[in-house]
Amino acid sequence: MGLGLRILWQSKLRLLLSAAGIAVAVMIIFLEQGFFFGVLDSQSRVAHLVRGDLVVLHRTRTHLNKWNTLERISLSQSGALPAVDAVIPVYKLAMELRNPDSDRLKRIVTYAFPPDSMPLDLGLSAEAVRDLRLPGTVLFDRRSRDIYGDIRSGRDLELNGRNYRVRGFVDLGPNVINDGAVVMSEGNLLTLRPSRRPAMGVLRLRPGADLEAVRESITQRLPDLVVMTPAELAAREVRFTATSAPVGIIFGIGMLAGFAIGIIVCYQVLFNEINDLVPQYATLRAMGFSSPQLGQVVLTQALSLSLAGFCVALPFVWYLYDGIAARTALVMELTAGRVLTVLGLTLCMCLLAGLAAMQRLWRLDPAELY
Amino acid sequence: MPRTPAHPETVTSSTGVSPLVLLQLSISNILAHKARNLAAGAGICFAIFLIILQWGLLLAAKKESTLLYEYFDFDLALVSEGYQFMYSAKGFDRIRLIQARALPVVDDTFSLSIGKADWVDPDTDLRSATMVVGIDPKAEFITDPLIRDELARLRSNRDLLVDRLSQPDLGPLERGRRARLNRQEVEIAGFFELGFFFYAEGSVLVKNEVFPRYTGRGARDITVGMIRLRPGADPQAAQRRLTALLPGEVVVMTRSQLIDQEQAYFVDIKPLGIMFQSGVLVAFLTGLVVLFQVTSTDVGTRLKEYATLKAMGFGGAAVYGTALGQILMLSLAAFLPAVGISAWLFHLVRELTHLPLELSPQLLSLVLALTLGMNLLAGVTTLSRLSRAHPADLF
Repeated sequence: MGLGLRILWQSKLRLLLSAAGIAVAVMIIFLEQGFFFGVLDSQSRVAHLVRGDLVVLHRTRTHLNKWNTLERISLSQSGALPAVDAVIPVYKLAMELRNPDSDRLKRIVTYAFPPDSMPLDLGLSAEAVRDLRLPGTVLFDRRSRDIYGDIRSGRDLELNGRNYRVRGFVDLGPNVINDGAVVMSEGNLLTLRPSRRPAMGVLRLRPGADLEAVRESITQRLPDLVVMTPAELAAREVRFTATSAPVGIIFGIGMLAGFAIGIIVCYQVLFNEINDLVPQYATLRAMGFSSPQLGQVVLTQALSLSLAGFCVALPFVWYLYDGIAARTALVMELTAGRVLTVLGLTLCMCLLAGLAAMQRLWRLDPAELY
Repeated sequence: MPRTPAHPETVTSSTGVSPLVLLQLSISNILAHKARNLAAGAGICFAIFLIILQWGLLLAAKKESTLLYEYFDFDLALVSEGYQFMYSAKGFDRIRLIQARALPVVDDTFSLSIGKADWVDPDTDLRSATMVVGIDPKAEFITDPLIRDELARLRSNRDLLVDRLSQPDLGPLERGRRARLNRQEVEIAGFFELGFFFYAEGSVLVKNEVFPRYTGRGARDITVGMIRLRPGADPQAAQRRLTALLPGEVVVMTRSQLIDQEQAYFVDIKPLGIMFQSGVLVAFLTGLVVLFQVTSTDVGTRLKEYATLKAMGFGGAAVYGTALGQILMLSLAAFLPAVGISAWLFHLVRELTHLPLELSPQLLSLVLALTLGMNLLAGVTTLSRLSRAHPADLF
């Protein structure tokens, strides 16, 4: 064990308190970050599920919570380009679902599309796709908030006053605005609302087609449409939510505040930790340790403390994310990138605090310490 | 030999130290280690700031969720059975409100309808989800001065008031401007202020007589029936009598019950409320840990100095007083910049989101009390080491 670690290990209560302090800082950074990305990820999830090369929306549908629809004719026109293999309409509308347990009407989002071409990746088996074609069938989003009551496969469900049979489940997930979803076939939807227009079109290109050329010619011919790749749609959604939607702004500020607090706490803990050990360091110096050697001891300490705090925090963060995801049904994802960001922030801050404490060390005369 | 803490008076007389001198000692102690105290102060400052921010957000969100009710003067409210919150509430027949007037203590009634419609700005064709509020044209029920003034402008059937704090997609909100609501032409006759962004992108207000044509709801359907009692009437007694009088399809609530249950629903059930609430919990946890950590390190590192004071003959109360006085002063000094930062950020968030964030005296005094309480707790815990140790051990 190195000297730095041994110094830390010497006072175990102190080590525990310092690590706990850093752990709390790490937790708050993760929590605020989780809220922010939870709002963004849930909002842009549909875009990530698109199975196609391009999507077209009406230009007034500036974000996915808008209800502006496409002219059916422009969708067909965009599909008429030689490079386009297929164009698949996706409908989205709000309906009232009757909770079978409480008998109350609850707003739910309905997605509809031709089942044979599956424009969204909803994790369906071939059997479920076959069932979706049957008249009067819906698939229920199993990640919906539990305000809709006990929805089971094989049971009937009342949507906008009509009965539908639930024949399976999809994986979609609610966001901050919508609490849940059902999926039905295009045919079923048009029976209910014959004049309903699609909210989005998913384009699949022929092999070897030039994506940019297709985009260019659609934009030129159909100025009412916006053409994007699914990734661009997701990015646009994230950008809109983070900068223009009040919810994104609030949690964005929360995240920045979390970063600031976390960083300050790390600094505080380490600065005190090292500051309090100044007599020990001065002794080392008096014994002939050079400045770089001493610096190494201090930085080892700073790094190991921050790592210890980080590791202590991680299981709690896991638990916290799980709990929040379960209660809000939002996507609370701990991606490697986000974990590394927080780890990087923690390490940087602890190093800076260590360096600041060292400044003090170098100025001190060993004799003064006695 | 166990030491018994000296009584403050004895301290003063036996050592000749007045509290003023102790105060001076505390101050010069703080000034002696500027960098260290700056770091501690910054830690305390940000802990306080975090608690104020998260708590302020939760309070503002709660307030916003029932802001509409604050605009009206009522003692009791009728809502449909199983009512949860206004935006998704089932309506009930307005006949129930007329029945309620049979009770002599009922002075007057007022009906509020809430529905949804699509707003389309004709210039951009942008479609926005909009909350439609329908009210009876009874100015005496309306406490919000803006709505009271603007109500008279609702003359023709297509006139409406629009929420000035709606999202920009609704288009420029100017008097006389036309738009489409539920596919029918409407004209902006005036304004009100709500900023109800949790559920809809904007809000409009119309008279109840035209409410059905924009929302497709039945003409007899209302969402909240507001009841004003005669002066001096007991709301609880009236609530009991009304509950007995009316059928089970409506529930009678007092004003505060209605507001409390709706705020509780928002905070406990709606995802945003849950997120705000967990934010507050974690802010408290972090804030208190930071306060404890800072206080305890601060007192801990000075333990030698306090032991010296003790060895010099100062009594326990004097030493404790100096130490705690010092940390409390530090906290008070950190409180001001924390309030300053919060005020600035609240202003910014208010500008950006119209959430009614405010640094209310209650919020500030509660946070201050928490801070000082945490200081005392951490200070006393750390100082207790003093009484256990011999001064000589400390060197």
